[in-house]
Amino acid sequence: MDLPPSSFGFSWKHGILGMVVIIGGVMFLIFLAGVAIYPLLLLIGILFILAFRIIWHARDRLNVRVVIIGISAGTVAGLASWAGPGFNSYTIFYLATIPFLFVAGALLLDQSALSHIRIIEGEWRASLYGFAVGIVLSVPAALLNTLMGAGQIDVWVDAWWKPFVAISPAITEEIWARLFLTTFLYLLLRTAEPERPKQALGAAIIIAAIIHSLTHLPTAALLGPAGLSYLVVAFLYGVPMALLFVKRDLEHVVGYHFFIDFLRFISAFGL
Amino acid sequence: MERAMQRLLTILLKEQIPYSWLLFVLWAAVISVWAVASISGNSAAFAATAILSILFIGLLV
Repeated sequence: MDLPPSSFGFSWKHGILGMVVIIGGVMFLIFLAGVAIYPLLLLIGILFILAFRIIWHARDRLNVRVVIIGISAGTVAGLASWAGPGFNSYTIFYLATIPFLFVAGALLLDQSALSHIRIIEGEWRASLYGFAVGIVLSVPAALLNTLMGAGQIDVWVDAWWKPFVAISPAITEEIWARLFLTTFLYLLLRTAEPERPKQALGAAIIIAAIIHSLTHLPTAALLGPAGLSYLVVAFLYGVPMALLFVKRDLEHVVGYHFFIDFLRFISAFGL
Repeated sequence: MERAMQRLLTILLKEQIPYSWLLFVLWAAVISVWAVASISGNSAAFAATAILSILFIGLLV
């Protein structure tokens, strides 16, 4: 993983810690500005602009397969979320950004060699295998999630097939939180200190997991005790998923995320 | 009892049991305890499922 020190076209002399402080400050401002709307939408909007810039700068490295898979991922997530709760114009905007975040994430992944996307590499069997193994590995986390009563809020699950909607958050969240954000933060932090890749990776994983976890809450709730409990959730769910992404591939972590939500929705149907 | 615990710790710390096997055993334990908890409705068994699940996630990390 030898990267040029100026992967993003600038040099940084204040180390990883300085960069983490800056990222934390920017994220705080985003969440603060998200008071009027759901913070996730504002964050996704900013990530979309970043993704668009990355794609534009690396357009000579684009290939058709990546674009098709990105569009397919967004379409599958869109069709699945159609049956989910609160499908509205915000959801359409959110889903429309997914192909861009996927393509930009794939470009960053190619540059960083942080993980793999088997389906892009043409390894269909490895892709399905990864998804299945991810499901198996997620069983304890899925049971824990259900035992903590996560399904109690999902009153919209009123048919046996609706738990399959879980594929939508699995695809979308793993694309923006793991594939794009974790890889982006890793490259950014490596720019700060190229000789300390492990620290850069650790910081990227933790920051992305916390951001992913906190976007599940409205901003008002972030300032209360719920905000703290979601930090615990970040370490229980986000960090293992990020490590699975780094150690294995995107398919493992999509399978892992899918089953956690799937079991939660099944438990909601059974209530 | 103390000797048995020491032996278990030695096995675990010296990695005489492959990581994947340890992961599998804990995974199977989570499902077994959860099955018992679901059938019996025992709250202690549910708590044990939660603890084992956290242990599994910790081991996975």
